[in-house]
Amino acid sequence: MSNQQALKQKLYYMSQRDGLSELFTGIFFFFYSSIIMTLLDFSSDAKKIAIFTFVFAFSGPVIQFIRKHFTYSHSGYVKGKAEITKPFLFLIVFPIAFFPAVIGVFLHIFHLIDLIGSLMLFSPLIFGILFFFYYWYQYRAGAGFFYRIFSFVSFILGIFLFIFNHLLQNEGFYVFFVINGAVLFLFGLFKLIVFMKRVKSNENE
Amino acid sequence: MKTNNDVFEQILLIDKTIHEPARLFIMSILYNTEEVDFLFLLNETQLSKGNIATHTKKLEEEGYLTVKKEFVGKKTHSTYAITEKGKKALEAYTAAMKQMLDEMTP
Repeated sequence: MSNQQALKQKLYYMSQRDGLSELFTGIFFFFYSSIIMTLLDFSSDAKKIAIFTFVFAFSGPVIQFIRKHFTYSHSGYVKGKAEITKPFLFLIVFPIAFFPAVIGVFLHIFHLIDLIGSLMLFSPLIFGILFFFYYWYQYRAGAGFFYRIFSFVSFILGIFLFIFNHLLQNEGFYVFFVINGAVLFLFGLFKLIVFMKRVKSNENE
Repeated sequence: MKTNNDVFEQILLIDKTIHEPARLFIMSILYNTEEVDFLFLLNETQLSKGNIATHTKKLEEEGYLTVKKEFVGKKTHSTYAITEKGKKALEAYTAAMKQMLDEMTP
């Protein structure tokens, strides 16, 4: 690995030390699974959840504001350069992001209930693979060793939930997102607590 | 094959603003981030506050970085970001240095 790449990874890692990304992503995954459930149940809460998700989709500026004024004011603020490559965007992020939209279109517009049934059956496996690459990409970008563990655990979890999906009434994806959300949330919280214990200083002192 | 004079000419053409180690370090950090603040540079470079202020001012004068000053509460908060000119200058500098070192070493 070149020094340039190592420096880039180190700086990316430093820009993620406060755990806010994990906290927000963890919460997002909880609500994301709720959206899919709502779409399947024809629930009237869909609009509220959709708005909530929309807000979370634009949580980047909110996170940066908190970082600049609260968390990173402790140790120096750095905004990492996250290089989102086109394969990552089109093969990983978009399939995850548009999964509820696909369900909505197939179910409510084309009424393809059988197709949705198959999609639900295989969804833990699909998400297991997608999340493997999602975490692996984060690890390669410099997010830390834990992401390497997350990638393999997610893949195994996906397979496990796919095998036992029939016992979960084809709602294995829901369990998958709840577990991922909970792990990321707790991991983010742990990072935030550790990070905030750092000595506070500022440029005027 | 290049003569010694060609190599010396190349040395003289090296961007001296970036060539200074502290400024090179600052530029390397900025090149790999979107923005950083003063405190981050202070912690990472281990330079004094006066040194950072002087070097960033020099880089700003050359148009290699932009400084955004704002107040957080009653305290000043300075944020630095590399410019396009700065990126190109650093890339040109590293390319020139690599080429020169290749030619100078056996």
